[in-house]
Amino acid sequence: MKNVGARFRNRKINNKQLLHVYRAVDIPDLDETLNLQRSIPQTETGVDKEEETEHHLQAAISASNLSTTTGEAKALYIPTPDASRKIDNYRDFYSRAFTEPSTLIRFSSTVEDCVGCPYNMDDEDDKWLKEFNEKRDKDDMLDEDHYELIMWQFEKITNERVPYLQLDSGQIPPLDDLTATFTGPQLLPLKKVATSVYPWWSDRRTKRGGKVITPQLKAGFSSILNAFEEVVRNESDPYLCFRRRESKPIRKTRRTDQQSIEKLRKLRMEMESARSLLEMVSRREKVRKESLVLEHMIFDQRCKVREYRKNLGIKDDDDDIQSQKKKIRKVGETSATIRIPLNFKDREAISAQEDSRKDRSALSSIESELAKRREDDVGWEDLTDNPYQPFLVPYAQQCFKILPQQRNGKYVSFRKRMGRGGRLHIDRQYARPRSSSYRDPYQKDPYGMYDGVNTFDKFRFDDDSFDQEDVIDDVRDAMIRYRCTLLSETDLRSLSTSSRHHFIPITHGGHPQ
Amino acid sequence: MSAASSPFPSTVITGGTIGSIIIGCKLQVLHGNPPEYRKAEILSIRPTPTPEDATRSEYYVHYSDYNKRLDEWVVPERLNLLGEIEFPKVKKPKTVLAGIGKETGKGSEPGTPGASNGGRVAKNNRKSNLSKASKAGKAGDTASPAPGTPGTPGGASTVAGNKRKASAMDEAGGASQDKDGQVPSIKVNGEDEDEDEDGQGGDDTPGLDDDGASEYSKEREIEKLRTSGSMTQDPHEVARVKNLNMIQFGKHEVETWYFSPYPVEYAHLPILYICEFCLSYFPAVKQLSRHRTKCSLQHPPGNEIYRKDNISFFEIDGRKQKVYCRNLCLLSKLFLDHKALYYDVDPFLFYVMTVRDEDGAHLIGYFSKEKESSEQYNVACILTLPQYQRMGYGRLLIAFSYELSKVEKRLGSPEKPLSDLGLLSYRAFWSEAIVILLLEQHKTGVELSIDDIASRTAFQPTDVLHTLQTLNALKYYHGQYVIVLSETVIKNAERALKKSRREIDPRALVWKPIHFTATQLRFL
Ligand SMILES: [Zn+2]
Repeated sequence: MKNVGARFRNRKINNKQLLHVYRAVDIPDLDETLNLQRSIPQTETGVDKEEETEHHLQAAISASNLSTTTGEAKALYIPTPDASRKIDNYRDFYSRAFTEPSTLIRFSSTVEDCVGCPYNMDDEDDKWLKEFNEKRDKDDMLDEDHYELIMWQFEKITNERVPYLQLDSGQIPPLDDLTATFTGPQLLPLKKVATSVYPWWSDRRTKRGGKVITPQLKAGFSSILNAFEEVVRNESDPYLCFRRRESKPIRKTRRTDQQSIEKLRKLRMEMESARSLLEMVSRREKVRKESLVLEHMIFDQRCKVREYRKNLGIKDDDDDIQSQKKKIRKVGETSATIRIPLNFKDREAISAQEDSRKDRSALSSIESELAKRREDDVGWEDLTDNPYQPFLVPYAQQCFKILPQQRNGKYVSFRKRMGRGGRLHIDRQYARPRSSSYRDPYQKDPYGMYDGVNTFDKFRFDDDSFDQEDVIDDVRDAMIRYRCTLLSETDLRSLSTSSRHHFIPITHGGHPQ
Repeated sequence: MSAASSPFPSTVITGGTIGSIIIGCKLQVLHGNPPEYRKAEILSIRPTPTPEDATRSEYYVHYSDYNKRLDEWVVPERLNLLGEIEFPKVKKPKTVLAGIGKETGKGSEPGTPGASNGGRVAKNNRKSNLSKASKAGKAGDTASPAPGTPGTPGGASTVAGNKRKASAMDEAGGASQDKDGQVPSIKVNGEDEDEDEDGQGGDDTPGLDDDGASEYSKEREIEKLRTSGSMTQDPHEVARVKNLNMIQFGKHEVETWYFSPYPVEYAHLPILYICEFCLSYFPAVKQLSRHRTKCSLQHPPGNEIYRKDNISFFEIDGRKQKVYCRNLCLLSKLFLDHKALYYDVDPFLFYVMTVRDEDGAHLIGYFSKEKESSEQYNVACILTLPQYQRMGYGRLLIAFSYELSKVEKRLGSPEKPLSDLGLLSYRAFWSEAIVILLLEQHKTGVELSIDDIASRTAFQPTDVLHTLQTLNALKYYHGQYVIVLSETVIKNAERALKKSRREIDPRALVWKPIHFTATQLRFL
């Protein structure tokens, strides 16, 4: 028996397990002793632990257990305080007949909407009002409704204007401030009598320490005052109720809000820039249209002028008519200029100065061209110029002069030098452009252009046959490869240690022997 | 049996004067009809001077093992001053206990065996407090006891600051666990909280036995649990004093049960007058009658979603009808101990049941429901007003709450903790509904699971299991679990069915669940 119990003890009842329903009479062979061993742990009642043990609850539970086991129906109630008394003057308060609508009631007015003037006079008010009315004429009596209206107006305005009155009850608003608010058809007629009610109201309010005459709930955060009170008072004040719930997810949502706000802001900025762009486009198009119209008009006018001239027989050249078109074409040409590295230009200028055969007009045209390009370059950074600074060529190396003729496909340069003992030396050097790999000096140079470039660089203006007219025409097709290599990034990178503008000596420097 | 063997003889004395009675004292108090003595604790004292006796006071007492709703103000004549009086241990015994002319026990016994046990109990206690506080909306409940008693003689009031002390008094005073020979360790002046919370488990036992009230076997079992120290009382609960005595509501005068945070100015009024339609409250008849001349409400301010015979249900959104719902909560707090008014009413919907007559739709009861319950609760608070209790209205309220759950196609359960009355009502409703369902099922001969029962009733499976257990219907038969309905259970159900009672008619419900957006819920 014990074993059986132990075997099943762990098996819990599964909520999905199908259970057969029997009446007890159907299964007389039910083994109750087995069931006692297998009793399922009791689920919690849901009542607070300390209350679970209360005398009357236990009595009631026992009674209901008894009724399920033995059938003794003995209703046992938990005793509660008395609620059986009824008042006999119910009709004094509740007299309005209620007629129920035939359909379900739909109602959204609030209590505030339904209770009229929120000030309800108490016995003190009643006593005062009665005494007050005794002194007045029969037809000049202040009735309760109007009295409450006045009191409420005082209270309402004071709460609005001096919400902290209870902290400093000396700040009760003066009569004039309050009666000034008696406007409108309901309150205006009460303005005069309100003056007589004021001292009474002020007295009551002062007695309340500046608080509202009708006691209020200590409801959390319904006003600044309550928030203030909340801080001052103990959190566990049992009279403090209906606090505003600090919703926890707010922080989480705030972040997502921030993100979406950021997105919206960005979107707006983009939309706005698109809009301004379109606006400018439309403005441009309008201007263009205007100019076309103007051009058309000018053309018409010119046609007329020409016709008049023809008719009047005036023979004059049509310069003024043509000139504009020429100008436009020139603008188009300048926009096609290409920037040249600065050092290159400098060299040109220096060379030009040195050359005695250059005439002044050519020089000035070069200089003006350079000035113009410098101007064009303002605000631009010359990539080709910046990262690469040529090494200073040693003085001894500078003395080499390249012969204009080629020998074995190479330019040869010579230098005259005084050796020891006054001996005269001629150093010879093959001029060849720098390249990434060593080339056989006797092989026909496949990159003739390089040599050309180098000679161009160095001796351009030394050449007798140099054509002065197209001296700065670097736009010509033949220069394309040069320009390409100048601007190539990898090429620029490879220029880190030595200059391709310099000659690499085949023999050892200045000591050929 | 307790006083003689107590290691602190000075805290329990036999006989005393009325002037020596202070808050925290425990003594026999005449109670009930016919009157008999029952052990009770003094929770508050208020002066009620008469020409003959300027020092005359009333005493607010909590009877041991009775629900707090039976706490009451008693005249001094009902206190048994000749019997044993347990005095609380206080921080400054000399000043407070000077009246009885005895030195309080200073016997600090740091090494007593109770110490370790005490630590454990205290920890448990704290944990349960924590878990309670962490439940949204419940926090206020545990933290809102003990209203100050205006005009209480010096130092005797039970304001919040004194609560801890008061509870400490209680426990130390009841340190009479002679049964199992365990002695709670109490330090001088009782400054150590852990020790203070110790030893309370057994304090009420003698009273119960003396009364001979424990004639139920279950109670004995619980006695054992209590004396072994595994159950603790929330110290905040002990020092609660209700602030209102009676309300006039419609044509009824109803005694209140618990504290409710109506304006502090209205505390301890003989009667608070409440308009039965808008639930506004007034301290005097004059104000009520003035209000009644202006108040135009004749039914709860919401949409009627159910009408059958003279019973209607109104759905009211706490956010839209703040004043009404606050008033409703204040009113129901008078009768619900575990209701929390800590937070505002915005996150709740209120389903108000009314009975109609020629004056209007009168409030009978209501239940509130979270707009979005994280724990599948379909009821937060539920109350039938006392004047309508024991008339079957509670059953209607519960049935209606499950009808709503059925429409929502969700399972629901009432929020915990349940009150004693709530537990009994729910148990009765669950067992009746489940027995009827099972009888139907028995006719078909088809098996069904607990989940099946749950989905057909909208009850949570745990509640189904709980009910089957209380019906003693889960049996082990031929190697598997079966449901067995005893003849008495069936008879009870048939008897209930024959009674002509009001029932909720699902066809009369015109309702669609309101779905609140995340934004709406966030700003609750
Ligand atoms: Zn009303």
